[in-house]
Amino acid sequence: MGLVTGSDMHIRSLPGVWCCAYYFPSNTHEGEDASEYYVRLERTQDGFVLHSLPNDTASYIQAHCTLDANLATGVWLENTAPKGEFEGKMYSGVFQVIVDDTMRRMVGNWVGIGNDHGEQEIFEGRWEIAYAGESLEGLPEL
Amino acid sequence: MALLTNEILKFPGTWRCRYWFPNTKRGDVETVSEYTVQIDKHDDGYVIHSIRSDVPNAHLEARFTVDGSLITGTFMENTSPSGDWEGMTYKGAFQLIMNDDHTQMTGLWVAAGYNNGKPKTFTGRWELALIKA
Repeated sequence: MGLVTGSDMHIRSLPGVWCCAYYFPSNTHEGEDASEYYVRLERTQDGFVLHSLPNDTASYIQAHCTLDANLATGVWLENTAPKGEFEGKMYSGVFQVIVDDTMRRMVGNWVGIGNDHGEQEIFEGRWEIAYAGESLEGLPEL
Repeated sequence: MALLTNEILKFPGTWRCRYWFPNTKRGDVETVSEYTVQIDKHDDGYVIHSIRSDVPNAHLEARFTVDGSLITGTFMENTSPSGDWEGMTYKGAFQLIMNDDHTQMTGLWVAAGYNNGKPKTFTGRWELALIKA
C-alpha cells in the first residue's frame, strides 16, 4: 500500500518506448516550451531508471526514482543539444510523478536549476511520461 | 560545473527548515511547515533530521547531496497526529541553492498531496537557514 497515495498498484515492469516531456517557461515567446525525449524505463529493485534513446540532436536525459506504489520520486540529469537553444548546457533536478491506473501515463512536477538573466534560480514545472509504443518504429519525430 | 564534488562540507549547529504550501483545508491560504533541524554527514551526502517542531509529534527527515552550491535531495515528513494533516506522511524531493557562506539554502520542493480527494503533485518554496552555529 502506498504510504502517501494509499494506492495498491504494483508495477512489475514498464516495457516499450515512452515519451518523456517536461515543460518550462519559454525564453523566446509567451507561454511554455517542452523538452521531449523518447525514453525507456527499466525497473530497479526499488523504482526505475529512465534513459533517453539516441536522437539527431545529441541531447540526452536520464533519471532514476524510487516507487511507493504509484508514486515515483527521483532525480534527473539532462544534457541539452550542443547546437540547440541551451548550447549543450547540463541541467539537473528532482521530480515526482503519479502513475495513473492504466500504467500508461505518469503526471507530476519537476524542480530544477536554471538561469534567469544570469542569476541562478530554482524553477518548477509540469512533467509527463506517457507510453508511446513498442518501439521507436513508426513514432513521429519529436 | 562541478559535478558531485568530494569536498566534505560541515553544516554544524541548528537550522530552521521551512517549506510553504497551499493549505487546501483552509481555502488554499499559504501555510508554512517549520522545523528546527540538524544536518549531518552520511555516506556520500548529508541527512537532515528534525529536533523540534511547531506542532507535537511532527517529524521531518531528508537527505541530500551537494554539487558546488546546488543541493539536491529527497524528504519524508510525518505530520502531527493532532494537526490539520492528521499524521499523514508526505514524501517528496527538493533542490536548493546554497549561499556563499553556507548559512542559507533556498529553492523549491515537489511532493504529492491531495486535491479534492485525488493524489496530485504540488510544488512550493523551501528554505533552510542557520539559527546558531
